[in-house]
Amino acid sequence: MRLSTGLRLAAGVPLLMALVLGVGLFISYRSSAVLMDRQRVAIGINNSIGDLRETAVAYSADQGARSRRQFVIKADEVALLVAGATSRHPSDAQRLKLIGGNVNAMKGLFLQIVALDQPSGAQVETALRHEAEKRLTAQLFIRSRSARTDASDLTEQISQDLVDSQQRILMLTSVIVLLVAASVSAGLIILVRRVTGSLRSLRQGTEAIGAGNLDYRISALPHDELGELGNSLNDMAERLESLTVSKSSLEDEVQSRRLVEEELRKTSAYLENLIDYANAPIIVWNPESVVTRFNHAFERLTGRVADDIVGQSANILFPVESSKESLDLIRRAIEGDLWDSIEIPIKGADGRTRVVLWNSARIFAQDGATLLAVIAQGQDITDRKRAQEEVRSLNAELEQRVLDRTAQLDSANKELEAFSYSVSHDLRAPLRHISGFSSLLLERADGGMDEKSRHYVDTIAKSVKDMGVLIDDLLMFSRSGRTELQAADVGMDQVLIEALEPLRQETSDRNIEWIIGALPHVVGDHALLRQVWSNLLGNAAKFSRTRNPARIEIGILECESDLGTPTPPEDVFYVQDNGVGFEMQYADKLFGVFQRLHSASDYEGTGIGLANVQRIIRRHGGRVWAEAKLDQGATFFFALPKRLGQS
Amino acid sequence: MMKADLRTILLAEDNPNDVELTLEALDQQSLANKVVVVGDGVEAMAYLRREGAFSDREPGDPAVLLLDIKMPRMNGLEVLREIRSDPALRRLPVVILTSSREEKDVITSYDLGANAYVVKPVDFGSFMSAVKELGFFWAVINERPPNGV
Repeated sequence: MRLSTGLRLAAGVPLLMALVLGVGLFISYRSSAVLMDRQRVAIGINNSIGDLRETAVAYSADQGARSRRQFVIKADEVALLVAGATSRHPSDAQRLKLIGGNVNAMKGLFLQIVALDQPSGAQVETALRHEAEKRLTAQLFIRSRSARTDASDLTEQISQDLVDSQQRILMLTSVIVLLVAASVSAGLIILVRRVTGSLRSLRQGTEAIGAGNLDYRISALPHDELGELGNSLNDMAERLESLTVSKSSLEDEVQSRRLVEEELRKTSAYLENLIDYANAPIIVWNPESVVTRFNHAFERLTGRVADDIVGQSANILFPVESSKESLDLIRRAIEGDLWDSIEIPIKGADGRTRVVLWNSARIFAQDGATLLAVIAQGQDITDRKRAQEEVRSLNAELEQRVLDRTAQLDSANKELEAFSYSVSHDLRAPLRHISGFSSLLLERADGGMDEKSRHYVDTIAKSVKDMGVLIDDLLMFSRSGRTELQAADVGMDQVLIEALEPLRQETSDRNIEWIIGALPHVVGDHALLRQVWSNLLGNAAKFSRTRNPARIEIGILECESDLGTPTPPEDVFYVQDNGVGFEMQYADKLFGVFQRLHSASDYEGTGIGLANVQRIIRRHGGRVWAEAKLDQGATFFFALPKRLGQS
Repeated sequence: MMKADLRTILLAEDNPNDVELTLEALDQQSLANKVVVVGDGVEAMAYLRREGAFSDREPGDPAVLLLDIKMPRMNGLEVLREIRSDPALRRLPVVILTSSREEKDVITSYDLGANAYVVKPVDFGSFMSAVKELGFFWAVINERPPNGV
């Protein structure tokens, strides 16, 4: 409840009670007036009845007409009074009726008395009349007393009522006055208590806030004017607090700005020095392409001093032939097309041009839109360019030389091929003719030829045969160097069998013990590897011709060869015989073309086979070697790189 | 029809020694067939098409053409290509008879449609038997394609 409402209530309740009191008093006054009226009427009736008795008494004394008339008049007056009182105060009707009855009876009795006094025809004994009169008068007095008693009772009753009424008024008044006093006191006490409580917390709050405790908030506020006051105080404290906070943050900001300015000053100093003393040429120009900064490295690069350049158009730095292009690049850098390792030639004071590689960046005002300057940093690549140019020309020269060599090689190869073809075709034809015609000659002579002539012809035939073999071997050797390597997975067991089969047939008349171990798969050219085996096996068979039994062992080395650990891993194959062997001092001649360690008369051969073996093995990325002792057999080894993924 | 069985053998060979040896071999085989020798590819084509010097020859294709590769003017492989692209000649049996063992020559010959490829053996004995067998096979045993189209 708001205080104003409380106060209004405290004032209104006594007012209302006073009103009630007034109304009560008024009503009491009205009822008192009625009671007093009744009392007055009752007293009047009582008095009139007294008068009536007096009149009757008077009459009885004088029997005068006046008294008689007075009695009747008074009796009627009393009757009127009683009738009027009855109509006005019905509550008294019972008693008034009794009074009325007695008065009527008194009137009747009086009239009888009067009648006795009236002279009539017959004179009634005076004594008798006196008796009757006495009796009637007594009765009249009794009636009068009875009526007066009733009237007195009525009066007394009314007086009692009046007293009651007045007591009631007094009581009512007292009660109301007490109620008013009580309610006013209670209301005031409540109000005072509330106000005092609120005032206390308000006082505490204002003291706390006043003491600078701006975080303090007055709590438990009632919903009334004091509560509003408290809220206002809280708001005030809050505003004060925010004001205080912003003030302190303002101070902080001032402090930090001071620091930032110091940092800026330092950074600026660093940058100035960095730009001035950087080893790379650095230039800054404004949006109008006017140079605003030109560092020492740039001075060294151009041989010009900053004072001559700053304030000039950047154009001054470019050689005439590329200035239009370079100015265009400057304009584009201003527009935002930044340089990223762009080559721009720079003209020196001595007129010489340096090639410089440039990178650029733009510097904007704080609004991020207004261009202040463009800064570019360069790298002098003149020497590098020159070196590159030299390397390029050297490379080109080298490439040309390689091309020339390749062309020469190609043509040499072509010539070789043509030569081989000729050998294959043209060289064989005359041999065939020699063979053919010498045979025909022999046929034609048909025994008519002496022993010597026959020997000549035979020698011719044999020489032709040898030459045929030589030609075939040479062709094979040439082909094994020229044809492309058809690399595939090759089972060496299979290749060995293919190479061995014709040899076995050829040597079926000899006693040769073949010992053949298991051989792995390799990657290589099947046909060429067969030539290798053919050659090595053929040699082993040939040079063990004098042995009985000849013993030829083929296999792979389980451990690595004694020639050191080979990398990458390789399979080492060998062919060992128990033949005539050779002297190791000539071992290096074994694999040369036409190189032989035995005379052709002892061991036929062209001296091409092992050269061919070496060429094929080398083309496979392998190597070949031999170990032997004279007369104690020979072992030929060849090593091939292991297949990838082979264990 | 017996006459047809004795159709000629055409030998295209520029080397007179080879011609002589070949004829000797065929002679020893005692074939009754006539052997016509031409010295190069141009003459061979002229014979087959009955042109020039051969315009008067009797009609009919030879039983077989024994064709050397290396010849002046037009070599054997060119002759073979020409024959195989000529509708009138493309079924003619052609045997390459050459000194070359070059793989390239063998492959090209078969690719062009040679019916056989024979390397002339250097050894005369082998040469004789080879030519004899060739003559016998192609002139006698082999069923020839119908003459003409």
